[in-house]
Amino acid sequence: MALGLGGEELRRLVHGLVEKEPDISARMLARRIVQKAHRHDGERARDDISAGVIYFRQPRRLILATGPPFHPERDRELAERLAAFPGRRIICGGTTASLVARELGRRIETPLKGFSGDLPPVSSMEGFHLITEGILTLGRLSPWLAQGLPEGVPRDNPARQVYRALQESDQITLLAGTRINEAHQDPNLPVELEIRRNMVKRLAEDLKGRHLKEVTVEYI
Amino acid sequence: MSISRNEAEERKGPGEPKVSVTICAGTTCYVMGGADLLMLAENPPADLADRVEWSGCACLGSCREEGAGRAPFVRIGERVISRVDPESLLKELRDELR
Repeated sequence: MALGLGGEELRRLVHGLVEKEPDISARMLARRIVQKAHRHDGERARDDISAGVIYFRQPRRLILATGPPFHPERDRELAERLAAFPGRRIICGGTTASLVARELGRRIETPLKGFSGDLPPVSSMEGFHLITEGILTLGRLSPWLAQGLPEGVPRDNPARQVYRALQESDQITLLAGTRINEAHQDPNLPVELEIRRNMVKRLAEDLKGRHLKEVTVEYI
Repeated sequence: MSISRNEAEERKGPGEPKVSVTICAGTTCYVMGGADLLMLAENPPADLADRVEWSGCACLGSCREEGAGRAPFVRIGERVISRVDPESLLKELRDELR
């Protein structure tokens, strides 16, 4: 006669899961507990099953840099700031990535494999978790932050990768360069590109308001 | 910056028939047709697959250069060409390899 998982069994389960994966997220752990309890009931829950997990840990920090500094003399400062950041580092913007690579003496690789044509491809550089194109990618991500991720977005979609990185972080610094790329305002462009400053402001609002992240915005 | 065809030929040593092609994946290039070029680079026609080294670049910087022409930009070897579309790129490459 099954009376439910029981405290001892539950403790064993949780210890086991955490031992195997010390960084397991609260969400995943809660899910595993519920799955186990459900299985214990023969896949037909005999009562409500809920699991709440509170994860006490060090905040996960992330810095997202987008856009070159208004004054090129501050390029070096931007690069060094990123390199010194104690957490995940993301760059959204080809120009920005390029100048950071130059200042830090690192290579950027832009492999084309798996490029889907939906957004510009991601790049990689040592020391950086993710490098994407700027405005188009952030523009794609912006409504997701406001309304949630829609169905069917491939996991390797660049905007989705940024979204995931943001979701997985607690303290986010948005470092927005304010140099205007005039080519972006060329009336011949087939799309309208938002001004970076406004985009970043909106991202910060949604990250704070809807996703309860601690967000700092800096303009350079 | 561009070099003459002869200089390019000289620089290629024996057994190095490959031309390196870099497609800019920056914002402006991308919306002005770069996406098509990137797709081409991922799936090049058979006659060019072996003789061309295709790669992408986060930013070539050409859209900010005065007089560089219009996006999308592609770097072939040492020179950068502008206002490229898949047909013109293929033609350019086939000419280069002849």
